[in-house]
Amino acid sequence: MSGYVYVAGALSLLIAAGAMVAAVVAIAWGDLGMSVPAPVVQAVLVVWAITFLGAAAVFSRIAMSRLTVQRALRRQGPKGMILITPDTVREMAGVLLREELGVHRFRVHIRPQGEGLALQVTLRLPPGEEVPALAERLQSLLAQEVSAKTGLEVPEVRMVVEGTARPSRNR
Amino acid sequence: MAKDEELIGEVAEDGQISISRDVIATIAGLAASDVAGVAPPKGGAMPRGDAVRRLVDVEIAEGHVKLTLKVGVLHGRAIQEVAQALQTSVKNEVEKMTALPVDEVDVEVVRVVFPEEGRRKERSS
Repeated sequence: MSGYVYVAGALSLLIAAGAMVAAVVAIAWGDLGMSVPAPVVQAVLVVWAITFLGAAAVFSRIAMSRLTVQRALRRQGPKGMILITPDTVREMAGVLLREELGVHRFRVHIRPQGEGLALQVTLRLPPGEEVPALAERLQSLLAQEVSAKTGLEVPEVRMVVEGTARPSRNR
Repeated sequence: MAKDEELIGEVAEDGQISISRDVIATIAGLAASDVAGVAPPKGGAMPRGDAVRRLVDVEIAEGHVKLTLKVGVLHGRAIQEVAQALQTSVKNEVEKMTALPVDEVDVEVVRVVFPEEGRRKERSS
């Protein structure tokens, strides 16, 4: 999803939280004749408002990250702009991880770094693999291939091992 | 002259020549589909005929054209090279056929497409 969708989501959540705060104030100022005690309603609205504010903060963070990555993936050339979407880079990295390294359970995170991109691959170690050897192959393969195919610099490839994978039946 | 048409030349005695955005989009789309490594953004086979217009967004301002193309790139191809070839081919073709100057051809590569994906889609349709 585009970063702008998350911006819209964050704004909607902020408006909703604002409306709840306004409702809490309105209840405090006047007797609205509710069947439920006013403090209970206020407490529920405050909890909702805090939840919505938290969600808005998460959405804003995702939006900022997506928009900055998208800016890093944009190159202005003499004939116009070339934009490679983050999903394309993720997909490309995914193919390399599956086909060249035999890694099947992973997540690829992209962030801008200088004029290029930094990649972080969080994975489950395939059976029989050693971390240092895999890290070396993964780092050189991703940096070289992604850079060659996209024309973007890849100064950093980080590998995070979050567990071990069971032997796959498919491969 | 209709709103989506652009005047490309005027001859007082013989009348005027105008060209619609759809025509420019079709020319650009057909030129794009001929570039090696370009695939439709949703995978499958490249659309044919007028359907190629869907890949292109055309903006015309004061006789100058700006085009935006959303495409996929076939797996194994260098994205940067395919995108540059696409820009050159589309710009040349539109300028040659319409005589309108093309200021910019923006290319958005939205995904990597696998060749077998196209064959699967063709078989299922």
